[in-house]
Amino acid sequence: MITIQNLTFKYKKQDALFTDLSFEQQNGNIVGLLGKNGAGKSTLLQLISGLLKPQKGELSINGYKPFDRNPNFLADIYMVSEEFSFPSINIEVYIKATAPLYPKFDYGKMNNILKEFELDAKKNLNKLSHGQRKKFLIAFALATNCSLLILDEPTNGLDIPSKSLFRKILVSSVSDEQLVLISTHQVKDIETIIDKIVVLDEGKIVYNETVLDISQQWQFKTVASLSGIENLIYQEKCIGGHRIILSSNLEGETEIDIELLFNAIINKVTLKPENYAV
Amino acid sequence: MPFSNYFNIKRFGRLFRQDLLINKTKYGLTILGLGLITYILGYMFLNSSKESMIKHDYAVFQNYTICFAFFMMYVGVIIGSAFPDLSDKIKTSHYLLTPGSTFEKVALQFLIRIVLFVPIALGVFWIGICLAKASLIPEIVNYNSVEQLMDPALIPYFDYVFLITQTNGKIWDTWQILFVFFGLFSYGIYLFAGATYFKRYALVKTIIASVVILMASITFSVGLSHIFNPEETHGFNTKLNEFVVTGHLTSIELFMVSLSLFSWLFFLAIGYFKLKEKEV
Repeated sequence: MITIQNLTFKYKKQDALFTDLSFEQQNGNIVGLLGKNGAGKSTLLQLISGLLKPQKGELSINGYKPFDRNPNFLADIYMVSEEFSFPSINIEVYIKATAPLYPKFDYGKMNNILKEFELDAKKNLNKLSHGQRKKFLIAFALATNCSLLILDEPTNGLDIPSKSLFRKILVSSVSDEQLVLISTHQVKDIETIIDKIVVLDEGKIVYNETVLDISQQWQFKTVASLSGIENLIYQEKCIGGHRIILSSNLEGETEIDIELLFNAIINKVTLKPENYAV
Repeated sequence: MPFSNYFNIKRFGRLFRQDLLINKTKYGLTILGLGLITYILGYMFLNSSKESMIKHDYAVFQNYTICFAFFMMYVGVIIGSAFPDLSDKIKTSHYLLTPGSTFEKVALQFLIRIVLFVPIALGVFWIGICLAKASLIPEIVNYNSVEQLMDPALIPYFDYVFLITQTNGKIWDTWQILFVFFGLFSYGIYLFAGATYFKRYALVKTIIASVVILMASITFSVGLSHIFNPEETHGFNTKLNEFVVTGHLTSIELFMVSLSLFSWLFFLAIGYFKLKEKEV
């Protein structure tokens, strides 16, 4: 569980990135953390994982203060960074060396994911392509069964089949006791797997809604013309017409167009129900 | 907070095993390289100075000490490259998130780089330098038109006692031995702590910082001497008020021994807290 209260953070010689940021998230979700470049997504993930120290405010992850880097906290959190490096050893040795540090590590799950990703355990990690190494890292993260998995741009560098495999494996591997935080620009890659969307903009969480609530509140459509459309909230031109967001009615739910939703939020369109609270 | 949050023997064992499994080749090659360099450089140095070593006992002590001093620089480089993951931002993130306490991470590097490596390195030096000496070939040299046989068998094999033997063959005083032993140890821990203090080129920056600290200390002493003993201080010739503490130790000697005996504790604490407060 993540609890952030009135968090303030700034890098040296820079303006504050977060001022009075508050956020709460229970386990049992796959959360998509979205934001423009420089919005502070990676910084927030680094604060949550204990790699950065907040200047002010309370930050509690599964009951621990991240920056204390309590070993029990570290054994129950795994972060897949956008950039990573490995020692020059084979997959088998890496697992043998590192897996014992994670008490809930599931060797069976690791082998299954490696098979699904078509990774040979005898291969040297540094002889693999960037995408293959990323897949290994994701496999390792999932096999740790940590309560909090932080994935920073997990689909960067993955080919199209691997992206769909990643989605399938992630959904089937994560339990209700876990919380997965995915930060990405590639919203299309994760739109079918996340059950909550959090948008970070200008150092604030400007949107925090479950996918269920979004689909009940809004409809996402592509229309040839805007004439005669009521309840229009936001629209963007596209080939052959317009992509639109409408207030939901009784006609039924539509698939969420996360990209459109994100653009609407960033363009300050009011997408909050009356009882909305971050 | 429970003690296990700082140290847990099982967790420490797992960290140790992880380090060995990942770095075993690197460690093996380092020790092999150390042995080879000791042998090659030792052979070259002893070969060039064998004549004086055959003729004079003091040259034996001196030349072996020079070899050892160069060897210790190499050892210092290895100790100073502790915490190798901290030199790179990506590796630093991974290292800081490795499940282990800060104390265990410092203790692990201390165990590997000092407790295990230094005795192994001393053994490697002894083997290397003895092999180098054994490899010396007898030769006939022309000395004042008289041919003389230079037989390296007359040079004694290296013994660590040579390092604490004066040129007249007497063993150093206890305080001198303590000063040198703990002085080397403290400087090793200083280099070790420097690896947590600086991000990139930590070893070079740590060495430069030590020179700066030394120069600043000398300048400070000279300044104090000028203030308190203006009559007796001329330029850098300072006046030090020395008094006898015990029958064998003056105040300056006691200060030097104390400095070398305890400064490593200070540096170790700095290393711990710098790592604890490390951010990416």
